Order: sequence, then C-alpha cells, then structure tokens
Amino acid sequence: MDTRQTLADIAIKEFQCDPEKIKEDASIKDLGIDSLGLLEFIFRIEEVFAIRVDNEDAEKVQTLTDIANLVDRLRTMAAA
Amino acid sequence: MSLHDRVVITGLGAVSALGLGAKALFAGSLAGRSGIRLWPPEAGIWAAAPVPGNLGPVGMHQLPAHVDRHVGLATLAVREAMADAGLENVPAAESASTGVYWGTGVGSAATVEDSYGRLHSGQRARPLTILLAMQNAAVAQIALDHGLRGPQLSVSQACASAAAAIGEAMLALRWGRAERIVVGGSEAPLVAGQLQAWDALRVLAKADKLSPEQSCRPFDRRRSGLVLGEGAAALVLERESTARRRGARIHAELCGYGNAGDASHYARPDPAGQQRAMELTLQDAGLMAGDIGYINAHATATSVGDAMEAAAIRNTFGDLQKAPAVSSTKAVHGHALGAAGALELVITVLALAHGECPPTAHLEETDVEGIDLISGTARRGPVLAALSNTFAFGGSNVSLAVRQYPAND
Repeated sequence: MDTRQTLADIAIKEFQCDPEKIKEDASIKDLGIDSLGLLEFIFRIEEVFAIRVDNEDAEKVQTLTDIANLVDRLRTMAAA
Repeated sequence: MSLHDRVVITGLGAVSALGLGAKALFAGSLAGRSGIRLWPPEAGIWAAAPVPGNLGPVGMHQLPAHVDRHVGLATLAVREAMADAGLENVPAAESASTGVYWGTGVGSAATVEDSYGRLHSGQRARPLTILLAMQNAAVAQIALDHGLRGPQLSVSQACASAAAAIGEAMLALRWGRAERIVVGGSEAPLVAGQLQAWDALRVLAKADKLSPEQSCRPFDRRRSGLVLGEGAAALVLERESTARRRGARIHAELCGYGNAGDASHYARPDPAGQQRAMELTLQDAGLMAGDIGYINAHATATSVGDAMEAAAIRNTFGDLQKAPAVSSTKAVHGHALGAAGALELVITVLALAHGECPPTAHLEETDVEGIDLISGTARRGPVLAALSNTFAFGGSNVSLAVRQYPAND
C-alpha cells in the first residue's frame, strides 16, 4: 500500500486529524499532533511498517511527507 | 493565636462511588446509600466501590489520550472545585501564586498494569508510559488544565497521601508561599493486580453475595475487612485575605493539621500515634477537645484498625461530658486509599456547613465501646468544629481540623 495513504489513514482514524488538512506540506503540528502525539504516531508507524526509527530521525520530521520519505528510506534499507 | 493568615476553603469537588459531585458524595453519605458492588461485575469475586456508570473521564474535553484513570478522576474533581470557587478562569496575574498539592498512594495503577501486561506478552512499552505513570501525573495535569504556575507538591504516603498534601498546603499558605493552593487526592486501584495484592494481605472484606452493598461494616461485629474504592476529591484553599479580597464564598476554615508517625509496625495501627495526630491538630488549630462536634473516622472495617482508632479517640476525648459524634463513611464510598483523606474532608466540611453528620451505614451490632457512634440516620445539630482522621500503612497518622467560618471566637 502507498506509504502516504497509510500515514493519512492513521492520522485520520487513530489521531482524529481533520482530513481537509492532510496535504503534502502540512506540518504535523497543524494536524493537531503535538510533540507527545508525535511519539505515539511514530510508535504506531514503527509497528505498521515493521521499521525502527532512530531518535535522531524522529526529532527531524516536520511534515507527513517527511515521515513518508523516512518510512520509504527505512523500508528500502530493510529490503536491501 | 499567631499572626499568620487563616486558611479557608472556597471550593469543593468530588467524584466517587456515590456519583459525580461533592453533593452526590455528601447526600449518599447522609442517606447511608452504598456505592459498593461486586467486582469485577462479570465475575463478582470481590466487593469494591467503583465510580458508577459512565461518569469516568473517558472522552473528556482537553484531556490527553491514554491518561491514567486516577488523573482523569482528579481532573473531574478539580474542575468542579474550581467552578464552585468561581475560578473557572484563574486571572493571569494570580497564576504564579496558585499552586497544586496532590496525593495519591497507588498512582497510575491501570497504566502500570497495562505496561506489565505488554512486557510479559512480548509487546513494546507505550511511548508515554513514563509520563502517564509518574507519581505526579495528576499534579501536572491539574496545573496544565487550569494554568496554575505556583508551587507543586505530590505526596505519596499510602492512605494518608491526600490528607498530608492538604495539611502541607495549609502550612505553605500560612507561610505565604502561595495565595491559593488546589489540593486533594485521587486513586483508581480497581485493577486485578491491585485487588489480588490487597487480597493476599488478608485485609479485604469478604464480599456479601446477598447484599454486596453492605460488604463494608466499620465498627460492626460482623465486619470482615476493607472495601477498595476509587475516586477523587478536590478543595480550593486560600489565604483568608485573598478569599475575602475577591469576595469568595467560604465553606469553612481549615484550621488544624497533625502528622504523627508510629515507628512500630508496617501495618498494625498504633493508638498512641493516632492520639498524637489528633492532639497536634487541636493544638495547631487552637481548639479545645470539647470544641470538636464530629469526627469522620478513618475506620476501614478491619478488625484491628477500628478498635485501635476507637481507643485513640477515647484517649483523646474520653473524659469529656460531651464527646464528639463519630462515623465512618467508608461503609458507602469504600476505601479510596490515597484519596480517602480528601473525600472524607469534603464530607466533613459539608457536615459542618449543613449541621448534619452522616451515620456509619449498616452499623447494627457495635463492638467498640466508649465513643459516640452515629448509626442509622444522620444526626442533625450545629457543629462548631470537626476532625477528619486518616491513617496509613507505614505507621503514618494525619488528622485535619475544620471549623465554622466566620469563627464564633
């Protein structure tokens, strides 16, 4: 499944984000996910995509696109 | 007396087995209407006093997801107390002089149990486990919820947690460390691990399968132990000058605090320590023993505990012609552990304010002597001042005194 679509589904269904606000460059903060919420969000995508996000990477993400790129990179590395 | 400001109570809030609100808690206590049920509902192994129905904190506005149940209950009680005090919105200029002192004995029981469940089933711990399970989680949430930037203290002293937090807040206010402190306690221990551990200590009441609501019988020959309850209660304490300046309605004065240790046993109560706690409280309040009209006893309905407290009360007040009336309201709201001192102080304040003292429910076959126990129906009549006793495992004894405001002296 498409990474971006999966992230959007999680944001809407599990984190009660407004579907209208889900855009490529939307900041995670604007979606209503604060710093603690982001910890929960990354915890969830680690489970869903069977990946492990480093603390350093977790600190850098600002938008859903950042997260999607990170997930794709980690999955590619895992597959290689 | 001393030059320090008096400390007054301007707001009350509670959520308990008797329902949502300080009024429900007091009305249920007066009527002897028990909130005790078989627990867990489907298996009915134990008797317990859960907050009924959907009154819990699920889906509350502005409350983080996964917050522990005791923190949710604390939030409910504090919101009520702040509204009661006319402080829904604390002015920005008063934020830094408004503190939070809070007690919980067990703390985030469900969060901890969930965490161990995950550990032992090969799942990872949730990301917020540390923050949600920390012993000051309720203090953090209350301060955030109301924008309170004053001093904070989180007290964990087993069953005396809330009572000690309230007493220490009174001292801090007298010393001028804050103008106002939101105080109380919260506990939500109704999870299997807690019930099993309390059961293993052999202090839980045998569930009365025919009349579960009567499973807790303080001071009664048929008592078989304590019934765990959940709940939270909050009080807004203010320096008298601060309360008067803003024209606040004052429920009562919080005037005395005694805190005495036993240093004799982990679990067995010691009447000498209890007596010292009550005597220190009277001394602190500048009250004579004869001024006390009512005592809300700690009495949890264990065989040893009730008899020891009766002895301590006799030793403190026994030679008086007119000894204070005594009751234990745990018969109806159960033992809310670290929150007990707050729940019972709210009842005591309302008893004083209404001139109506609650009975010990289901008390028919008294087996302690020499104290004036209220049984059957509530007792009417003016009360000048009252005590709320709270004693804890670890040999920790706290007594708090409240009196009519304005005082008649």
